[in-house]
Amino acid sequence: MSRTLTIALALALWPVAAAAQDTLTQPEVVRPLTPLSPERLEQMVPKHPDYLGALAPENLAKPRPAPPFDVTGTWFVDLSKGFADYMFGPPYPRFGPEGIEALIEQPKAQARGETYRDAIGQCYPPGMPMLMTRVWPHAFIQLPTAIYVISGFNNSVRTIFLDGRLHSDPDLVVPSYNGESIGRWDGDTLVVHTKYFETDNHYIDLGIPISDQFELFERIRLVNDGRTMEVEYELIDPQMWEGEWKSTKRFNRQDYTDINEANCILQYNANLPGTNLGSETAEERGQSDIEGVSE
Amino acid sequence: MMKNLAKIAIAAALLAPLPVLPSLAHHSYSMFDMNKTITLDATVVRFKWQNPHAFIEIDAASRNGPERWAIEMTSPNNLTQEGWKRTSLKPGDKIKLWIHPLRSGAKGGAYAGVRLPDGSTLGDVS
Repeated sequence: MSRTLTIALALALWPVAAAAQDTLTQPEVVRPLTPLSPERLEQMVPKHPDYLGALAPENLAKPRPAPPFDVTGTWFVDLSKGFADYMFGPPYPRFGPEGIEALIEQPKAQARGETYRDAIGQCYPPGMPMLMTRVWPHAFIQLPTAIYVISGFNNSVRTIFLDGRLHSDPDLVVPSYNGESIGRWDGDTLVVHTKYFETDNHYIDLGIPISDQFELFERIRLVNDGRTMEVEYELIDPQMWEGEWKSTKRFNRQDYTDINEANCILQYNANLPGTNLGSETAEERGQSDIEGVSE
Repeated sequence: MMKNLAKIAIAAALLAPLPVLPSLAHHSYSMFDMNKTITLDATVVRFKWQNPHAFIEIDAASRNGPERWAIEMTSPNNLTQEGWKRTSLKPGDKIKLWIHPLRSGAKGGAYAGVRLPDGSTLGDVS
């Protein structure tokens, strides 16, 4: 039956293929293969030779105490108090000049109808902690050795290692927007310490910058019969603010959604006038003649 | 001194008007006048159904001929809940759009609602 279908399709498409051959000749592609040495092949694989990867069967099979909860699921930030609760303040700590500047300049930019530090609109990752309060679901996958967090927002990936490893050598680690997270169980709580953040265009709330001294502590619990994940955040950056900046967020299980592919494509943002690029594109097109557009 | 500056700044931030944000916005909507809604008679040039934001490119009718506009939308997940489909629009469709325009008066806006070629409406067309 399938052979008959294949023949029928081939016959149906034959005129199309023949027409294409009239105008284009498919070139013969030759790519000689030279075998790579085992040493070269080994060099191609990024490794940390002192400890097993989180997904290595030998690591997964190691005996460990049972964790107090399994956070595997899809979670969505609880904004029932109001949309602005996606931010981590107020209350704010006492900022240094950079943070104060952001608190002063952002409302001015908003009043002018402009964006302020539109990093996400330029496809910079929001990074931690703002990633968690993007209004998109997050998939948490908990294994004995790690929790993998995949965000619906631009598919950002975060790994919280639970296998007892230490933070990486600061001279070798690559700073990242979500940082390097090491977790440990403390009674009914998962305590996560994250550091080594990329600081370039990495902001908290509405444009508050961080330095390379920024570190994040999270105390994660499940409440409400496991339907709600409560996270107490403690943000530390002695170069940018005094003491600990604390905020507690809640996330609710969402069992009827999944994470889809989502990419930030800068060229597409030319058609999103809420971004800097989209606004500039609209400006290049000039002022509208349509009645009622301008004041 | 630093403490006083911080207090002033926080007070200013609290007093600033809060825009009505689309539920899945991933960046500021301060460029749009969310308190103003205008209608555009438009021909669809392109409808891009994509994450994190869909968008519509249109030629909008004006006194001096068609104007090319870009209309920012929320995410397909969000739009689906008000009835949108990937196939809701195609190039050449004649539609009416309700949008929140850019404050600058340039040719762009945030989607609010639409009247489709078959006369049905989606979103806020009031």
